[in-house]
Amino acid sequence: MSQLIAQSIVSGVLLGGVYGLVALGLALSFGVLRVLNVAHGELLMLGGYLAFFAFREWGLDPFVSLPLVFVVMFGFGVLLYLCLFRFVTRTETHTRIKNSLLVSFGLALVLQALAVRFFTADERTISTAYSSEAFTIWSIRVPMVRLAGLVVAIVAAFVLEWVLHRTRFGKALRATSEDWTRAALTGIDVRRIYQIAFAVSAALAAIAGSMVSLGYSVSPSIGLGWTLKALIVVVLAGLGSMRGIVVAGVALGLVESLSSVWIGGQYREVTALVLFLIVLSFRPLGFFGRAAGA
Amino acid sequence: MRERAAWMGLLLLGAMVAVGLSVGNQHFLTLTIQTMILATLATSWNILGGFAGQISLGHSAFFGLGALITRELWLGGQAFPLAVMTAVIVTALAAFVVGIPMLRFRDIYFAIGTLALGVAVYITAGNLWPGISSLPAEVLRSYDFTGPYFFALGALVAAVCVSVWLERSRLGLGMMTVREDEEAAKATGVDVFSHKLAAFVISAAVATLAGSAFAYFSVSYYPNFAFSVIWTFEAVLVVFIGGIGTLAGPLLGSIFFILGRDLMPTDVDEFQVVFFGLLFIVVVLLFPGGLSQAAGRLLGRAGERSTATDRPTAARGRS
Amino acid sequence: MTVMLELQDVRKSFGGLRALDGLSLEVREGEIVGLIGPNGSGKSTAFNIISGALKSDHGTVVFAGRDITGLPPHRISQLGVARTFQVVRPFRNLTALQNVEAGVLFGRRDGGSEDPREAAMAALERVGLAAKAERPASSFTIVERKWLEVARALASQPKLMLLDEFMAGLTPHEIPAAVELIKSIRESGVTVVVVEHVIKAITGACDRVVVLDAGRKLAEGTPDEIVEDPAVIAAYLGTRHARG
Repeated sequence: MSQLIAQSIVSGVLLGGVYGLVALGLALSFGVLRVLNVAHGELLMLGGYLAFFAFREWGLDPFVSLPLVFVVMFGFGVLLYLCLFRFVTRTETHTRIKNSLLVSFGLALVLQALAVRFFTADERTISTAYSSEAFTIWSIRVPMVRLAGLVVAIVAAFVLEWVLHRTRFGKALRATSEDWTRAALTGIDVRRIYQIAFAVSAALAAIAGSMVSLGYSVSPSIGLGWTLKALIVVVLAGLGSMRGIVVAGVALGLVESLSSVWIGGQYREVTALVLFLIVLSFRPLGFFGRAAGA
Repeated sequence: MRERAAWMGLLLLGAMVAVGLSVGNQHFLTLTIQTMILATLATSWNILGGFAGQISLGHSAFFGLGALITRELWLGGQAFPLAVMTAVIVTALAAFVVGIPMLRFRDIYFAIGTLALGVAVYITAGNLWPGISSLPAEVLRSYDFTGPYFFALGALVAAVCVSVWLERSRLGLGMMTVREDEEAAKATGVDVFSHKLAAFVISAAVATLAGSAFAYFSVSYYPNFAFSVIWTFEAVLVVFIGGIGTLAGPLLGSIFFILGRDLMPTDVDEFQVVFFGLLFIVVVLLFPGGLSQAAGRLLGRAGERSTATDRPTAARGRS
Repeated sequence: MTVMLELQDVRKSFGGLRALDGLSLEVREGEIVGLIGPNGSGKSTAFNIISGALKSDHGTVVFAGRDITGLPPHRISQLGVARTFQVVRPFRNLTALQNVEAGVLFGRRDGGSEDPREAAMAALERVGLAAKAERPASSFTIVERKWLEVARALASQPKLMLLDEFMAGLTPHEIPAAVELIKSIRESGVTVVVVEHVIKAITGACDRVVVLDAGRKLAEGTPDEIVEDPAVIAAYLGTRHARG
């Protein structure tokens, strides 16, 4: 039994790392643009397919294609911002959040349908030569490809924090997220900040998608599930720190895998959702940190 | 204006009854029943989302619960009307109990919270009722579309009546003030929380009727299908395309959606979703009044000018 | 005259900032009282505590002999305290008539025994908006929205009316009409408290002025006395004169 629990703790932590990684992008777009993108999971799905096809068609290893996935989805993010979210960000905050929720909901439906059309509804996994490799500590299996997801999440969180706190661009980004009017008055090009932040958010979702298609699997319908995970993580962790988000992701992963041991596999997600609702009901307003005051 | 609308409504209702009695075309009847079920569901969502301004993404839970209870009791030997009544009462009670914590969440927290709830209920329903639910042979032998047709029509009429009543009542006005501005509503003496809760419970009760109609109409389905998020999504889609916060919006949107889906090429299923998804985005961004406003403008230009009854939208929000 | 509103030692902090630091004041029935003070002196906080939008940390609010401290805002409204907002907040997508009907239907203790529509029309009449009754509030100008808010508040038949920065945003030739409106509210038996940033704007309308500074009462008296008060000049008017 303790063996089983130890194994689930490890699997939960590894999966939770990916939850954290997905949530990083969502936190970025919500924190900076005040845009709630419920198509975030669909961007993850697209990233996953990109990595999958790069591997199948061109034999590109998913770690080699990571920069490619990042760049392509960054570009797609720019496109989405220019065609859609630019119009959403023209309204004041309250309307903006509501409208972004609705617009991205429509976008999610469209992206999912297009994915079925072009990629078929089949489940896909990247199976490399090292896919089944794992190392074992005290007879607990740690699959390499899943460990990679956690490592990428941690690296991404540190890079993001470094950019946010150590660069001029990061400073402008934080100023915009605190109060865009004041930022605009100090000469910051708010629209450019929005565009880049949204594009990075999309690219982060895609990176997470790469890791998902390597360690788990992708199909057109996975978007909503991942969006929900990312939302839960962001709501629990707030927008304060990127490291905090990865930690919250890991916590969610742990809760899920432990509940599947104790309550039963088919209720792992339900347990997490119910826990989330309980926590939310204790703090019904102040989750997105500073955003609530804006 | 109102009287004319009432007469038109009655005329339409008469036509619908005549159609149900005389037309034998199965395909046409199926489409009509589907439209009425969706329109009932959309109208119920509109009570909460359009009148009271609370965007719920967990509405399928009530539709599913209505379908489940109705079906289980009915196939278990209960008289159908009694099954429906039980379903409505149980669902309304469930909404009351769930609504008290959920409605403390504001705006997007409410949307996220209800989405989480909807998904949790969906998974649980799938776990508890894994088997397919089929009409037994003796029911199937006498099955035709007349019963479901008239029940769905009755459900829709009930939904519309509730909406009309709300539009004219103190309760409905209170809901709309909550939608417009919670702080100002409180300062005006409106008990905001009670109005949200009332909208939530009424909306759930009406969604139950749609679920009952679905349970009556469907020959066989997996019980958790009625809990699927798809129902929420279609309701939201249809309400916005038709015109949120209006009486006609959910009806127009449902007709447009079901008919449009039927007329579109069937070899590429995904095309329909792409089309409605894009249309939805366009409506939210550019035409927040939806089809009903467009229709109102056309009618207004053709006939006499209506006196500012085109109700604007909740999506526009405050500024 | 009886006391309509009484604040006793009301305190409120936001984080480390003391917005109200033991404020006590009294408003008698039938008065028009001006509450003035520089930005951040606690005027709006005081309003929000009276109307229930904020909870005080300490102290009591007594309205018409009844302790209303900590009651929810809709209860306070139903008891007879109506308010307008600094930044106007009409129900934008409802018609003017519906806006005011809400005041009739929800603000009155008896729930509006007369026909709500007629009562609402009467209130719109009083502010001169009856002709636009069927128009949505979103189509109104800022001034019209202000008047609409007053009509909505009046429709609830309040005993006490709180007007938040009522003169702000008005052009000089609209101010006399606003002063007349405030006086006519009092004529109909309603006690009025006006928050104002600029003392000059309300001297014509007020019987008495209370000056706040840093969350406390700095001075009180007739408008003429206040303008002469050295403490007021130093803390408030002085800086304004220096700036202007």
